[in-house]
Amino acid sequence: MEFKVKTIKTDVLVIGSGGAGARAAIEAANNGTEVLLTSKGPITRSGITPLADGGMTAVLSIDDRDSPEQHFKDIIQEGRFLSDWNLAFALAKDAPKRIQELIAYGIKFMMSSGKLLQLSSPGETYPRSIYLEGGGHQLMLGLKRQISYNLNITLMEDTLIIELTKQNDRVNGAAGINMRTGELLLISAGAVILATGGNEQLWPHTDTPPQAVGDGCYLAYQAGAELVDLELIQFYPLVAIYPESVKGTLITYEVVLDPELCGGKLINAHDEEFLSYNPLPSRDILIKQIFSEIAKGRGTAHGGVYLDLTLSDIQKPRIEKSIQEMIPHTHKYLQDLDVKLLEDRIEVAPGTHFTLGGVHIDEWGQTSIKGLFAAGEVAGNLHGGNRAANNALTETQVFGYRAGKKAARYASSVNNRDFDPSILLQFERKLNAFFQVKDSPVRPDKLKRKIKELMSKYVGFERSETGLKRALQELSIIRQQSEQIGIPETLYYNLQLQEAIEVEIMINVAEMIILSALERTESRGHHYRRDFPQDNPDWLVHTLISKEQDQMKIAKKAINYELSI
Amino acid sequence: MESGLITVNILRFNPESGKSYYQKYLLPAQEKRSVQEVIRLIYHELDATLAFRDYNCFQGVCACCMVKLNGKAIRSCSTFVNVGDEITIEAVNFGRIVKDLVTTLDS
Repeated sequence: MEFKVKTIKTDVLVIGSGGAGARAAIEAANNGTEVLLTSKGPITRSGITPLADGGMTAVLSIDDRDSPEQHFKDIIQEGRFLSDWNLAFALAKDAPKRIQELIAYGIKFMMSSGKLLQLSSPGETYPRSIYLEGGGHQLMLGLKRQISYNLNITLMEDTLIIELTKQNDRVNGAAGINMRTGELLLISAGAVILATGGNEQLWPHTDTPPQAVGDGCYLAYQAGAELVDLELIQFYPLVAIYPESVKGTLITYEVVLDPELCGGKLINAHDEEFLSYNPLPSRDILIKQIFSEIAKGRGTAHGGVYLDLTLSDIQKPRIEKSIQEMIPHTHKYLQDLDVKLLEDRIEVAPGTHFTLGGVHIDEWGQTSIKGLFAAGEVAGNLHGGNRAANNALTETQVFGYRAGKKAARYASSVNNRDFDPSILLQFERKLNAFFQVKDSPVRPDKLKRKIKELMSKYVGFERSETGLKRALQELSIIRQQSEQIGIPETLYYNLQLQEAIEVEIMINVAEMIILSALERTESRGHHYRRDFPQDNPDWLVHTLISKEQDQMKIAKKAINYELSI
Repeated sequence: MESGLITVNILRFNPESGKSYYQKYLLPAQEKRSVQEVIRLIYHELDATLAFRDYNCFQGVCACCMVKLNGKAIRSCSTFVNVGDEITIEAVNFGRIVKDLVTTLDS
């Protein structure tokens, strides 16, 4: 196949247009650099941020007892002591400023008597959760508006970035495909920021979009960067699993199970309650209770439990009010699909929700490779073993800002914007290999299903050495099968091509996760080893994955327990 | 109309040839399906060349899954079709058509 090639020079390349990528692009542009912002889909209509409920955290002047120091301590405690102290403190310290900026951008938060509505979520010593009106989608609309005003930012949507390029030891650009124009892209950049989100789609039950397969992890790995704690994937306790039409819908447990807001109950297949609701348990504890109920054979037909709001002690109008105020879109969406949150028993199960591990960064988003930065969920050493509610969107803003600022400064110090065309040959060979296999029975979407089944079976919440080793064996079979993938021959919005590339990412990220899960021989936060059911103080350390001589290498890395910011 | 089937006519557009044409698919179905499920099933089971936006916001707000169903713009995630129905699905008039059901979604 003949390829059309487009070359682009920019100062800062930001990959991913969710909350972190958008904020990074704005900050890099505000610091006087030209920014190219690429996204796998259309901004505000792709990625994970638009799906978020809209809770954020910041120490504001609502409760005088609270302080950034307390917010920091809560992150460390909730993270089961795997968080990098500088990152946790940066989040706590910068959050109020970033929220004030969002308000200045015209992004609206829920108010109560003229002040920001601020409530307490599990894991918060004092109430510090605030709520975007219209959730993560409204956050993205506001950030998109800022981007459209900013002439230093070029937005390129429906664009897959497939390789990072390097010159000596510095990342100096990337190669990819623009699926709208069918062009191969060769991008030269002074600095690159990864803001690609997580890899929740390696598992079958999740509340994330199909594209969340871990692009940034794999790009960083290929470029030689350090990745930490990949075994830690956060499950969210309540994700709808049946009926099929509503599968994947997150139902905010912090609202529906709260004894004052809604008072909903979880019920097993024997019609029994099995939880204590006051106080509401943190996520890692709650999912353990739900999984344990299912494991004891008291799960529903589709492998979950029931959420039932009719058993609440609270008057129905009060429940309706809570739902209308806190989760109106979820309520309406379910209603449109003939599921009544207030009347029906809904089958729910824990689903993958947030990738805790990822690319190792410092407090400015700098990875272990020069010229390469990371911000948001793709980064790995902030939340540790468990992320408390509502810190994720705050992370996007705090670290998007920090990475954008630092990457702009770095890009300004690097004058070279040369292209390395050798990457194109390699890239064209890879695409032609996909196109050359005619009428292949191996379709990438089918392989994705196999990877998900494998991860669910052996690398779900409960893990063991035997299971993880079997997972590695079965994964190597899928890897062999993936060499036979054949797809239609076009670069114009070719979903099969996107999925073929995503399968390669998923196989490699799955292997990194399994190796990391084998390495951590203890149970902590969202990593539960049946053969090592207790936490172990010797494991107050990151698992570390890096590439050495083209091999995945697993090791340990000390956690930064010093505050130096 | 046949029972146990949903008959789907999709307006295809190939950007390389510039040609548009309707393609008919017969999708086995035992129960009502959302239009989004119908499109996903056609892609996964019948035709890997079909281009569509595979995205959910799970809140009905993102408009990414919008298509024209029998000439009328709808959110495919939350619009049902019944077994035995014959339907026509086309791209929305919302931005430029990239391929098949995918548009640039520019406002």
